[in-house]
Amino acid sequence: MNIQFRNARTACRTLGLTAGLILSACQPAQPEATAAPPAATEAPAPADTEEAMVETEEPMPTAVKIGVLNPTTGGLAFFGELSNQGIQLYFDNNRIESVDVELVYADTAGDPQQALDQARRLVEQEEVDFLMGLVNSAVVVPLAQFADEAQVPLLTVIAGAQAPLGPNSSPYVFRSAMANGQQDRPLGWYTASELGLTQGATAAWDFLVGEERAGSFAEMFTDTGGTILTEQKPPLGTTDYGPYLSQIDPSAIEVVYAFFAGPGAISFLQQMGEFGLSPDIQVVASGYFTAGVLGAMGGSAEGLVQAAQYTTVLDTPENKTFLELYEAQIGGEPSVYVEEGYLGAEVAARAIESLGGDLSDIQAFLDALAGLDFDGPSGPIRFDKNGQSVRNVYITRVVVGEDGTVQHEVIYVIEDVTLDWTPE
Amino acid sequence: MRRELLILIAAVILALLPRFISTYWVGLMTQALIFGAFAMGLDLLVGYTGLLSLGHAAFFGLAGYGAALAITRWSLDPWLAAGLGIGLSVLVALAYAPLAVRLGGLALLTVTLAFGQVVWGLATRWTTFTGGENGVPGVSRPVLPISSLDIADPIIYYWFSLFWIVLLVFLISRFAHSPVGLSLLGVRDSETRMLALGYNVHRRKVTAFVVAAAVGAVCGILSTYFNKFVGPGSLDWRLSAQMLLSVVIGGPGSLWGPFVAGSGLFIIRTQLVGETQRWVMVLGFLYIITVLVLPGGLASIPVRIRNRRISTLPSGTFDSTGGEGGDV
Repeated sequence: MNIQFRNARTACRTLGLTAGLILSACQPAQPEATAAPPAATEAPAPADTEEAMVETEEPMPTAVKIGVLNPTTGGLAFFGELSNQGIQLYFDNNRIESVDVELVYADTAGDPQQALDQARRLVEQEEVDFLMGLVNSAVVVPLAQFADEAQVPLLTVIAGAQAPLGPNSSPYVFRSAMANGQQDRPLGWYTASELGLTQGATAAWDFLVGEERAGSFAEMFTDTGGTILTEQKPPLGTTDYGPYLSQIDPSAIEVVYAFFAGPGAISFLQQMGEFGLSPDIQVVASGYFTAGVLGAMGGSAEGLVQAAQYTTVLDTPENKTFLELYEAQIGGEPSVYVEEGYLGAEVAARAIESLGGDLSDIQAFLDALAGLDFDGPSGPIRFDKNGQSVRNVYITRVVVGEDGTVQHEVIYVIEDVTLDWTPE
Repeated sequence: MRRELLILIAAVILALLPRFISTYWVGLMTQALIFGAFAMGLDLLVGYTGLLSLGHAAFFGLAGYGAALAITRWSLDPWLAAGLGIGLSVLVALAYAPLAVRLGGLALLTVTLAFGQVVWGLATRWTTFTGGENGVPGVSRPVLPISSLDIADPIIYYWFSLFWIVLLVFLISRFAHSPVGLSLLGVRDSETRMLALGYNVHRRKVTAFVVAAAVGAVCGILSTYFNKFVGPGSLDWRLSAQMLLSVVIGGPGSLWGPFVAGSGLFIIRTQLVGETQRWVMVLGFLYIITVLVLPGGLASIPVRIRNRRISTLPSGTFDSTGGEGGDV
């Protein structure tokens, strides 16, 4: 027994040491971003010495603390990391004069309960000035309620759930991302009116986002004269669409609206081909369909029409700056999640800048957010009275180059798209 | 008597705690106590009766959903809604337990998991009624009979939760040491002998299952009112797993061990997320270390200390794992 105990204690010590080592090795991968303090002012003008002394002293930079809530573990970690990357990219490269911005990251794990716990920790313990982030729609509703009660501004950067930004929404909640349906409504109109395809089907993952998006598409599509013949709802994450594609009758259906992402989107397009449905049936999609997987889709994506909030091919100075920064710091082509994070950060930074970094008056900060109107990498952005962003929707078509490269091509731009957008 | 005194002392210390900690920690402690009590209730089933369940989050969430929907959809008084939620959970447990406890071991683990997933599926898919993934926001807290106490105040809500949790802990402890409670230990240790002695083993198992569900239901209500929100996360099997893990780490059958583990793990987890991005890994190591070093869970610590003190005595006299450390 004595020996047993000695063993256990030795084991305890060894394991404790190991754990300590692991802990110290597990420092956050992303260093806390702190914009460099402003450079010392130039030599004082030869005036009163005392006054000059005062002038040479660096003005104390105002500290602004931002709580960034994104999933960095669990099934949504990939998207959370990309969004964080975008936020970090912006603050690494853009200094706000005489303001020290500190980013405090917290992991929601995509779980509403943990998101709430972490939001409380950020606000009450870390004392952040406001919160931003959020990838999945499920965490938006509880966090919007939290933000409203705690009177802390919340800027949603990716998640699109319609619920928290309706007419009775909290004045504390803003969203730089587009809401579910905000791209799908224009796409519904475009498909029926401009493409002239009126016999349609929808296929969307069976969860809240799929429902809101496919629903919005169908609504505008039928309003414009189209008919939805079948609605397919495969479970979230499906990659085998056989049973659903067999419901799509190529002799009757001209266009399929699809809402999938990642590997699910890749296999959907491939199986469309295997079932002999493409290229006769036009596929239209929205939002994140090709995000990060366009290359993997290859030729099967040819001709795909998509309503997107951003595409790398936009030829604007803002987009060029963003692409250059990304190329210099990370390399390659950024996904839309990075761009949305970057845009969210710019929204926050511009509001902070307009107040000179003084966020003590929350109402002033909310007003500053509401009054924003600028051009980001994805084009102009402003907020409606509910705090929902109003942005451009780009209708793109996938083209395959002679060398086999796949690329988006903008074929139509719908400007100033609100959540309840209707064609003029 | 000694047990009641210990509960009372712990309650007094916990009640005085808000004087010394920040508002944030008051909120954290409120939730920690809720999860502690939930794990303690589950211990009646897992540690006492020897039945593993991976689906008790269903009763936690079902009560929360019941109350939240009653308040937001039918504007019921939160007190009534709480009763409705708990009643719903207990009724469902009463209906499901007789079927489930026919099985044991892994089979029971599977059917409880399946049951939990069914309820979870209902909450996420029945969008028009349950709000789907969005959950149910806007849940109002009950109005306290003493008008000077505002339940919106975090400290008041902490005391409110503490009151119910102390009551729960007291009842669980009384139940565990009652003849019925002790017969559950008999069922765990030797089912055939209990049958031979003329006990209705099936009924004991159902009782343990339903009591654990009822405790979970009360905790679910407290958690829902704390967050003023309930979502599918409170029905998730991961919550069930976390509670089962708390029971294992706390020391099955000791009751107080799972309570401490359930509370502690919640606090550690929440704070760890702020310390490192690799919190899942650190938490995993913590679990492994605990199980390696303390196979009997936290509850075996006092026994180990006692054993060490008298380790000069001939070995074999004392239980070295100390599964029921608290009750020796």
